Amino acid sequence: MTNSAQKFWFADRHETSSLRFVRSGLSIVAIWYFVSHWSDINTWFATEGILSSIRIGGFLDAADLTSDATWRWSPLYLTGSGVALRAYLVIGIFLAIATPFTRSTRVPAIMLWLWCVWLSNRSLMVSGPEELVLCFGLGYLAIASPKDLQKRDLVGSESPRSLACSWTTAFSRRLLQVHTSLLIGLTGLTMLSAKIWWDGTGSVSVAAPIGRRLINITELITNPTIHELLTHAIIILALVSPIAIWFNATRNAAFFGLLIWCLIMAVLSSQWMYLTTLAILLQSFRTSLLFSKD
Amino acid sequence: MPAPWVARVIMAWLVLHFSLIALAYTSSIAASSVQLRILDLFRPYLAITHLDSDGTPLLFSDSSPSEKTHLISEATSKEPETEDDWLAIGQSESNGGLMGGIAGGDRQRRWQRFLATLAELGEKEQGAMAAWFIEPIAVARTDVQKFKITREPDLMTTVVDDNASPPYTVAIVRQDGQGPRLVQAAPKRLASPAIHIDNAGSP
Repeated sequence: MTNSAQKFWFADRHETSSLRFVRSGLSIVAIWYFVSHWSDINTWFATEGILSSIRIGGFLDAADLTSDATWRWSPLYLTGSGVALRAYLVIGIFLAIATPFTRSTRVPAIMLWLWCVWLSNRSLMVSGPEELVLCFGLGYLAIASPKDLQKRDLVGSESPRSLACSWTTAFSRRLLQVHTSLLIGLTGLTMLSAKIWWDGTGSVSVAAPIGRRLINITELITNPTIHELLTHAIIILALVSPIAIWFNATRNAAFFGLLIWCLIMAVLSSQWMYLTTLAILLQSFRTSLLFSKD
Repeated sequence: MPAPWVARVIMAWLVLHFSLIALAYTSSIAASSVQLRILDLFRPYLAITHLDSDGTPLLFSDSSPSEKTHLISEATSKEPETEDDWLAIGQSESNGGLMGGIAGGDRQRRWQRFLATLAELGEKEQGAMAAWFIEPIAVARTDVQKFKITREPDLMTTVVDDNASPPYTVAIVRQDGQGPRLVQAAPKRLASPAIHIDNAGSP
């Protein structure tokens, strides 16, 4: 293994305030995620629910999809009790509240990750990209040392002591950064597979099926100049920024470009939970150096 | 810094981990057989940790029918004749309760993903598969005779799309002492009038 690779992954010396922000942000999104399941969890997963374990099992057998779903482990498949399902959500909310305040142990962070993964795996047929980003974000954060994340940075200080953190914290930050930029870059690449992202109608196509939206911009994007420019900007940002964010000279521009990209996509698609999580994960790039100088 | 052997193990894991993630994310568009074989081999790792996208494309939109707003409606008449005979479920919280979740954004999205899957099964004439999930709704609504899933028109749909027959329509057959049976209505197909062609090849 080369020395520079080792430095890249394990010796990032920087203040941990951005990772602290990511941890608090993901905990809030996790609460949002559990609360969003509260009203419907029995309708979906209870014994008489639409996606009860028995129904899912029967469907997978009949569709010959059992091998695909075998590894989507979750203890929630073992219960159809409405009380147990709601209790699961309550425990998840408590874990999300406890995680940012824990200093001595990784247990709450690991449990919160597992809680989200298990609910995501149980949400067969109804899960989406929000579960994807929440699960990997919480998983990587659980690697970081909770002691490092509780430390207060010395404002304006760049002394080695104030910037020092354990290799697990540095590693956690790098995992978050690489995975987030890979996800956005691959999103841009897969967009190129559809004609709408070439002919300028991509932005309208994302916005068109959304019935009830928080911010209504449907009227605005029916203007061809606006939606075509918007479509091209979305593609360019998704393809260029995940690479540009790794270079010191372009990091700030790429970082703010991606935040704007998240905002635009959230307004267009109304996928607020997914894009809020992505914007939070991008904070791991804030003030980070690509290669440690020492 | 980790011990050298630990660092080596981690670096090997990193290469495998991010390669699998890249394969999983791109496979939602189209996957080669090699890609599928590799993903099948590492499915336990990707699925247990929910690292794969479970077939969800990352690209936000490719203008496919499954992205449209889907609506599930019910009819209490055996042969509903007009659109007025159909009542959309879940349009308001007061309308039934069972599907009352179509109000909030995240909850609405889950219903939409579910309905899109049923519509897709209906289009592939796999009504028996969709029936697994429609049955509990049919059990809860004893007076309903038919359900249909339709796609709502929007800025990107054409007149042809808007007048297409519903991707999934199912009749409920209720028999005393037994649970409801669900029978999918055959989707309407495009047809041309029959013509006779004589031996000379002219109509």
